[in-house]
Amino acid sequence: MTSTETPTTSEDHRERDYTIVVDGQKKVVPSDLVSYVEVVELAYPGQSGDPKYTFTVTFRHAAGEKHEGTLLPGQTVRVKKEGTVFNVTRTTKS
Amino acid sequence: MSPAPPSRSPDLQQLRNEGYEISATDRGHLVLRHVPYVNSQRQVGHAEIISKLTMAGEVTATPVTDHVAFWTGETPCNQHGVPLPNMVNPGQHQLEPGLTASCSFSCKPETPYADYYVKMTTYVAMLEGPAQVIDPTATARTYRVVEDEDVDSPFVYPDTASSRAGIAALTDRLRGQRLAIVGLGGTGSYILDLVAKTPVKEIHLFDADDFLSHNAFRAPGAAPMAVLNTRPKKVTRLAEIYSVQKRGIEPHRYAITADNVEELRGFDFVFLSMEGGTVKRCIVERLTEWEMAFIDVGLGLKQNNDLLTGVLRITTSTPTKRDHVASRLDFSDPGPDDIYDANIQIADLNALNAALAVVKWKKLNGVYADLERECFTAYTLDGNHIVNEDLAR
Repeated sequence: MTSTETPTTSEDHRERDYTIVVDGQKKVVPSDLVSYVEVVELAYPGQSGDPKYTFTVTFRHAAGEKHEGTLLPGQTVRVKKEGTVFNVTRTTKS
Repeated sequence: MSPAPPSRSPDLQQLRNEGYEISATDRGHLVLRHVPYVNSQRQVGHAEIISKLTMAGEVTATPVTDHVAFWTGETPCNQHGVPLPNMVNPGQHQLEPGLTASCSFSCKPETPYADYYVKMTTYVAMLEGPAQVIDPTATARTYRVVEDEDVDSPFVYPDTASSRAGIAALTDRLRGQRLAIVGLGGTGSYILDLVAKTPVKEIHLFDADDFLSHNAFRAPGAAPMAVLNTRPKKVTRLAEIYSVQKRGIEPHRYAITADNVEELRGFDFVFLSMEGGTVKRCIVERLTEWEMAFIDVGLGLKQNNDLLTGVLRITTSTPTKRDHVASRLDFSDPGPDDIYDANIQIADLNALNAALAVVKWKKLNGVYADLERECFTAYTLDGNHIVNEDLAR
């Protein structure tokens, strides 16, 4: 996985980095194309998303024509340079 | 037992004592039948005057500030066949099934009608007077006994909220349904709170758990400590609370499993507000096989540093749209090695998740407009943001 934690100062950003928000935390990704697996990995660092679990992944303020929605396994979304917001959670509680 | 026995209200009883044919419907209307009037051909006919009823429990609330009444006949006229002036507002109203008004009457007194006796007899006099000029025997006071209607009322007392709002005919689309709620935790108990205010016929509750102190903080209403001390079952506690207003609530003090899933067969709608992967998969498979409609709800909240974030999910499955369900539901079983399993639940979010599910159920039944026809909704907390996907077409 190539994603990294957000550096503490913005000067550390490389020109081609993209800053997204995952569960309220800023994260940096190296490409504007972000996949379901990549976002799940960012939400649960070091734990690859176990396929037996189904995560509900929502996004908004994306760059593509579809600027809000959800990601299912295998799907990707184009993010903005900054400000695309994701949430990742298993929605199993009631 | 009638939902609103007129005998408990002095004004309704006075109408009945004086020979007027009145009945109170369980949808919250007062109907006065066989009122004579003159039509434009100078013929004497009979029709009904109807009023919305405002109740304070078992008795009418007086004075009556709502001066409007409804009428099921032709335009009422004087003895010469000239329409009565300053009275009729044209326009049909479907008040409830089998009760459609052709127009409404508006005769506003300087002070509100003292009670329903005064209101109804005021309107009767305006119509009856001209009729008696033509036929001196014409009268609304027939002394015919009218049975109080609907012993099968879905409520202990009438739903006057729907009649006041003029939407009784719409909420009636839910009447007669048999619902099941599987899982009566935070979200399930709020689902019950909302569907208990609809005229469905039966609500079956399935849950094996006890109602403990922490449940009291995720359930509607307030639980006395004395109740918690008795350690009631969730379904017993909830059935007891809601049965004071709603009829047909049936508690089942056990969970639905692969062994008894057959009990869900034949319900008009099932709300799945339960945890458990393998069992849920089995239930979903059976409901699909039986071509039943259901909604599965779930929420996921998590704490990151000092922030609570999360998503509420509403997944709808009907015979016309189900292909999305498998990819939307998590069928993993909770276990000690489940690192994703933080059990954070909060009443307002349980309630919102429940409300969104109940709203969707009402959309499926034509109570609310449904232009999107979404069968998947996710509410994201940190953006106050809703997305709708998996549209039925």
